[in-house]
Amino acid sequence: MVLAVLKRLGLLAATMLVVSLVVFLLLEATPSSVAIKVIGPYTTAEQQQLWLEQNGYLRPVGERYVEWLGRFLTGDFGESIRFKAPVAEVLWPRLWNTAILGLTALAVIAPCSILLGVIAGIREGSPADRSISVASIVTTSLPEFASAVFLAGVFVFWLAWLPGTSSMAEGWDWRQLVLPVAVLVLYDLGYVARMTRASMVEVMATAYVRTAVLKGLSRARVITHHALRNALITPFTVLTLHINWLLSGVIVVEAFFAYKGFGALLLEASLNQDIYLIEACTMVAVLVAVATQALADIGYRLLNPRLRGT
Amino acid sequence: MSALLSIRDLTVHYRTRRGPIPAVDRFSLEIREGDSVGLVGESGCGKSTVALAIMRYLGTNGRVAGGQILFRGRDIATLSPRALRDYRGGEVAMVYQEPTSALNPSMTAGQQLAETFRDSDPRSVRATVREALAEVQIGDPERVAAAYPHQLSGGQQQRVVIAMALLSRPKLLVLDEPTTSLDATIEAGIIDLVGVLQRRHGMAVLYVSHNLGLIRQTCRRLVVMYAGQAIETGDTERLLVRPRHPYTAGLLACLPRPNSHKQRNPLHPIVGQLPPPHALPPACRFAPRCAFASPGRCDTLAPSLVESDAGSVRCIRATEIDLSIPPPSPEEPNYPTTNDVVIAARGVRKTFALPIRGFAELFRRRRLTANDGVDIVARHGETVAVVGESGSGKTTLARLIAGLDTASTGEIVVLGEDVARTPVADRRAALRSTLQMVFQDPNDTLNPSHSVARQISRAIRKLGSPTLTASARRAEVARLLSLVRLPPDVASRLPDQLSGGQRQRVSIARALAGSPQVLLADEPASALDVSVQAAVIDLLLDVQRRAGTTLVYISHDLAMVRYLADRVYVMYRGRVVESGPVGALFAPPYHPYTEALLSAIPSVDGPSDQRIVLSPAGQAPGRGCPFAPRCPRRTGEICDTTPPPVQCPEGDHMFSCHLTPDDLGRRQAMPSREGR
Repeated sequence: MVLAVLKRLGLLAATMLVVSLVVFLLLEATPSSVAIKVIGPYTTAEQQQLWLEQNGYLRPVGERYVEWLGRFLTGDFGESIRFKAPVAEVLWPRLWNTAILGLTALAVIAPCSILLGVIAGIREGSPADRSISVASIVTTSLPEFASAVFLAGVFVFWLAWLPGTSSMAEGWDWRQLVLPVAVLVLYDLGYVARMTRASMVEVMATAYVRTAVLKGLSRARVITHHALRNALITPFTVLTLHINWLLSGVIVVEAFFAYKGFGALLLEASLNQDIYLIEACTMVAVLVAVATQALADIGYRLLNPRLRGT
Repeated sequence: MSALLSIRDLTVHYRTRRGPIPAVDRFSLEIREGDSVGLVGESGCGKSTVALAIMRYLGTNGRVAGGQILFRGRDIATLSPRALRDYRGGEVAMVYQEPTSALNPSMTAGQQLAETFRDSDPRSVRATVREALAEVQIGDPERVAAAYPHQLSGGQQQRVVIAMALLSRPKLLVLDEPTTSLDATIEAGIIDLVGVLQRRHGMAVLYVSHNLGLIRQTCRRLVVMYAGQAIETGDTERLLVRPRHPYTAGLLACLPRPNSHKQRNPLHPIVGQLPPPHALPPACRFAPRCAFASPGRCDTLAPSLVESDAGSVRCIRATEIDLSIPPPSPEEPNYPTTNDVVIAARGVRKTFALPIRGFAELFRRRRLTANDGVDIVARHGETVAVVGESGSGKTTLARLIAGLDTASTGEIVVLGEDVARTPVADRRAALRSTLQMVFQDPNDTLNPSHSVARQISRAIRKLGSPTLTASARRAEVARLLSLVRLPPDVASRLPDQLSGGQRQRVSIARALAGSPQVLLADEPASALDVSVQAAVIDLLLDVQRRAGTTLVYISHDLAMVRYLADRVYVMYRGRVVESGPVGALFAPPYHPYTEALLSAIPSVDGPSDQRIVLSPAGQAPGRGCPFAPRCPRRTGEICDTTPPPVQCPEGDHMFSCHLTPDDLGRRQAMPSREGR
């Protein structure tokens, strides 16, 4: 098991290394385009040449990559062009904001979706199952921007209970977090609930659940001790993988509610060709993706005794 | 004695999209205290439904549509949820077909045993669990209790399930095909165990099985089911010796008898197949398949179950027909053989790398030796059987010959060409089509989304004639289907729409597309019902007779091997421990391992009280004989330290053992002292 974890971490490091190489080659392999992005397209060739020389861009690619990698590892991502500040100072607060949004959403999604999925899955085809399944399909098929417009229409303009923007301009305010979280929950809840339901239905039909029932165990014990234990493996994996989406994929919601998060930052960086900020955002997004994947893998092994020894 | 369980006119329906289908139709059965009753029939006949109805567990779509089940006079349909739990856990317990899936994969065996009782003192619970495991003859209860199901062998898993069933001392134990997925030697142990426990606790046993040989050893009374109805009941001995219903007689004729051989007594498969429950024949349900059916009577008059002293039978012609004379065989079986060697394997060795555990193994992988110096020879037109328990390396050998794996060392000469290290993709097209394989489970080997015609024509293009026109290929598909005795309309169907036996025929037709000279059949019939099994074997032999095909038959079913093989290789732990012509091999002297395998054959006639129960495999053999740790005839230290010499009692019969043929012959002629 320890060996498996170490192996997984090694794989994580290797992936990051390959991604860093790809990012570097894509964005920094041709120095002239870097110069144009940093000091602007309307500069003269001499100015660009001078800038390249001053910033060490005339050295061989290999040497520049090693230096670049070294700076990245120490958390020095360079200067943002748009924000005129070190990238790190811009990036970390934004990531923190998104983490608050994402984890709040997750804290609602995880228990609710599992509960709904289990209720639906215990008895396939029951009225509860049908209602939950239909509701899940409807909410999941609504795109985020549509539900955002709808919820804002109801709670901001009609009922006027909640603010329509979440920029936190006058300091931290939980009321501004409600709508973005609601949109995320609405979008993701049904998906995870359906996965849990499918897993539960499958487990309830297994021979070992039949064994447990025919041993004379109570229904509650059959469900909690025999079915749930095995049925939760799938939703656990799905939820772990969704952490990745919640941290780096909530661009639409953040843009809609003007929430100052990581997704909005990514969008802004791309639109402004803010090269160092793009590099940093990409690396952080990939790290989040790979790390959650590793977490899901290791968790899956822990939950499944058949995989523990290997 | 009073009736413990009595089933009266039980009718069970399953709800489907086509409306309710009857699975069990007015079925009655009485089980007295301490009785042992067998329930026999093909799959789909309703026998498992009866077993589950006794547990009152028919799933969401099953429903008791009529009749009642009384346990000690109480209708179980009226039990409250609480009383039902006491009934299931305490009065009646069940043992299932697949122990692997019947145990929860994420709980240890001990936890699953412990949760059945409500005693809260952990120490006494642990002691009871240990006792329960010891009672089912598990050698190291402590280890097994702490193990997860996947860490146990199939036999151990089934013992855990039995221990679980017995914890509450039930009055009735229902066993649903408890040994179907287990090796013959393990099966023998489980059957003996159930017998011992039944006598010790005086419980009644209901055995559901399609294996008549097995039922004979364990049950006093039998009920034969067909298409949801009981068609014959009676005492086991009477029923197996003098069956009164043509179906019962048909089931018996499907089984190879100890002294029958393909040259003399062909098997008689029952023609046709079980009617689907939504299209049952109006009168006698067996009439369309019955050789004795009388037109105008059997297809118009529904027979009822008629009681008599010898049991009951559901056949209007029961008193007029004579089932004791076997139908004459259509032709004198003649198998053309020559002395040409088709396959010659010498010193074949195959090792697999095991998964890495721990740091040291990063650098030195542990390896599993699946084949350890195997020599086999198969001649033109001959049937060569390779037998052994699971894990003996017999399937690995077949895969090496077929090129699905490549050998580590040694040579495999097929038609004059060494292909030991040539994977199938690199073999010459002619060689590929001349050597084909039929696999164990037809459900896994046919593509579920392609029609039968499409799968066979693909094989024709790849193996036979790539240049045929579309219409010629269609004709060839029809010819192959008729060769495997399938109606032409099967061509347009998907595998899902076929029965298991039909699917296996399709995979045989596919293998025959390139007119192979060699067929490698890996347990081709073991996933099938007895009656279907006979038909598939009959078909393979028919192909062999017509085309002089060499058949390499991999199996653990020694009764069938004795029936159809010309020569036999017995494998144990990757080595051939005995080989020779079938006549010599199945008579003393034999290798002690062969002796144990032979004694485990459940048979429907002949004495059945001399079974040798082997301890489960597991202990790694030392440098000596691989079988020594389990050998009942182990002579001393020499077995553990010195590899046994190869001995040759006569002709090409040989085995490796430290005992001489005379020695073994003398001991084996006497009643076995290990037998019970």
